[in-house]
Amino acid sequence: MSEPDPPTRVRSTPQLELRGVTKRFGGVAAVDGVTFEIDEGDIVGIIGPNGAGKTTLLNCISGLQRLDGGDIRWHGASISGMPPHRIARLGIGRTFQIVRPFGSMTVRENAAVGALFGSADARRGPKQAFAIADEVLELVGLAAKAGLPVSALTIPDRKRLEVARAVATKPHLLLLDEVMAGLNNVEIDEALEMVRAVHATGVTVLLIEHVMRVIIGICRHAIVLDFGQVLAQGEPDVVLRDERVIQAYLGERYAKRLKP
Amino acid sequence: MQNASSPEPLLKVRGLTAGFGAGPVLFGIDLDVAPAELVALVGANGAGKSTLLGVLSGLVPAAAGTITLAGAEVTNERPEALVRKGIAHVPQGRRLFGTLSVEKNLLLGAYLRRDGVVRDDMARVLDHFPALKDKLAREAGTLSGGEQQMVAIGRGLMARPKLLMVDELSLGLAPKVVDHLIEVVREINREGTALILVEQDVLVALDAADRAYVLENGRVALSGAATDVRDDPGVRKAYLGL
Repeated sequence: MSEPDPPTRVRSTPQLELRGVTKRFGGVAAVDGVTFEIDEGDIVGIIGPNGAGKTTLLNCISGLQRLDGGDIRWHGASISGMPPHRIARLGIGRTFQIVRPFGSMTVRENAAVGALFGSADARRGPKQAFAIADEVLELVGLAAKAGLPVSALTIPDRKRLEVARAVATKPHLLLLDEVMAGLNNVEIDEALEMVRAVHATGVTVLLIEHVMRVIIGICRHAIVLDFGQVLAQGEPDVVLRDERVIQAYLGERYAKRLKP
Repeated sequence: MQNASSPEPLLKVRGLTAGFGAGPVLFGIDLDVAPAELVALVGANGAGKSTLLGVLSGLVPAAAGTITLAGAEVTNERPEALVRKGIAHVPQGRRLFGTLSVEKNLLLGAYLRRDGVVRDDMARVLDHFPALKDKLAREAGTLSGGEQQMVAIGRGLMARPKLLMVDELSLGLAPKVVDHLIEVVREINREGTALILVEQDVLVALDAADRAYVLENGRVALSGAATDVRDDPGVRKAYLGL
């Protein structure tokens, strides 16, 4: 007599899935067999030494770089090899480490550009694009500066605009590449509030940062890359105490600073 | 605090007002750096730190006030004259020549020198940054962020400065790399080079420095021993987020 099947925990398809993702430059594997998944609504941090492949990995996800191996799936369907604009339209938005706003345009116009080239939710014509721009500038705390030329913005505000442009594409997943570099602790806390506000609108966040205040302050999950491979992943508290992570990335002195 | 017996400061800034087109960014700055002293310059983005470094290296004109280097006034001298007199600037974001080799980038730091011991200084830079030894022929743009910062600091050292100014040493670098670079900066300082360190990671800067200045809206809001500045309740709240 067969027993009834035990109740299985049905795990819904992750929003984003990376399976053995590999990208080589010449003979060097910048990203080497990276596997992880991200669930809808998560906030995940990627950390690791300079040159570990973090930005290359974001480039692979956003389609700027074609994979040499492995697969990337969005809600279960492969997006490997898809061009960047189509990936953006699917709802994967991103920022760039080196911000390049349109210098001759206002803050509001820059944000509107994001909407014009974004996901289906965002691409509703110029009038709607400005409405979305106003909405996201409010969200990132730039509403009062909407009419200014971007040249008038301070560095933290330029970073906010970079986030606003990406959020204006109405992404379901937002990739942030070091948007808090060059900010002091108090400015970082303000930027964390901004990311929380974006996240609260239902956007999944995957971010690269070297600032541990960010990883500890906001991420539910941290992934450590080293030499293109996943060295460790898990809850930030646990990962940052991992001896291999301290050796490869944090250093002893910094690890001590993290201790309460 | 400087007393009567302390030596003449290497750098003496008095009443410095400066800015770009739209109006002043700095208002009446007084700042001293003693020979072989390590001074941290901290403050929010937009407070005027990088502008101050720009004025000190001749890139931004001073509208009022004086800058004295080793007893001689150098206000509004041209950048190349200031490099010759001993001020080297490691700019924010490193600004290397990405398609030139590491070696050429380093040699460019000694562009103005005709003293024949440039090779000795190259050896000194490589002593400080052994990781660059087998990368001299590489294009600087292909190096990791940490290595590029080493080249930028090394290029500054190649000018044989009395005062080395480093803007945002930690920008975009892994914690372990920041620790290493700070160690090297302290080593350079112990060998007799005065340093101004501009840093967003305020704790890192204050741990390394002898003295510190806090800039707020273009004015010196606070200055003193780095340990005192670190313990200042206002600094802890406004910059350290404690």
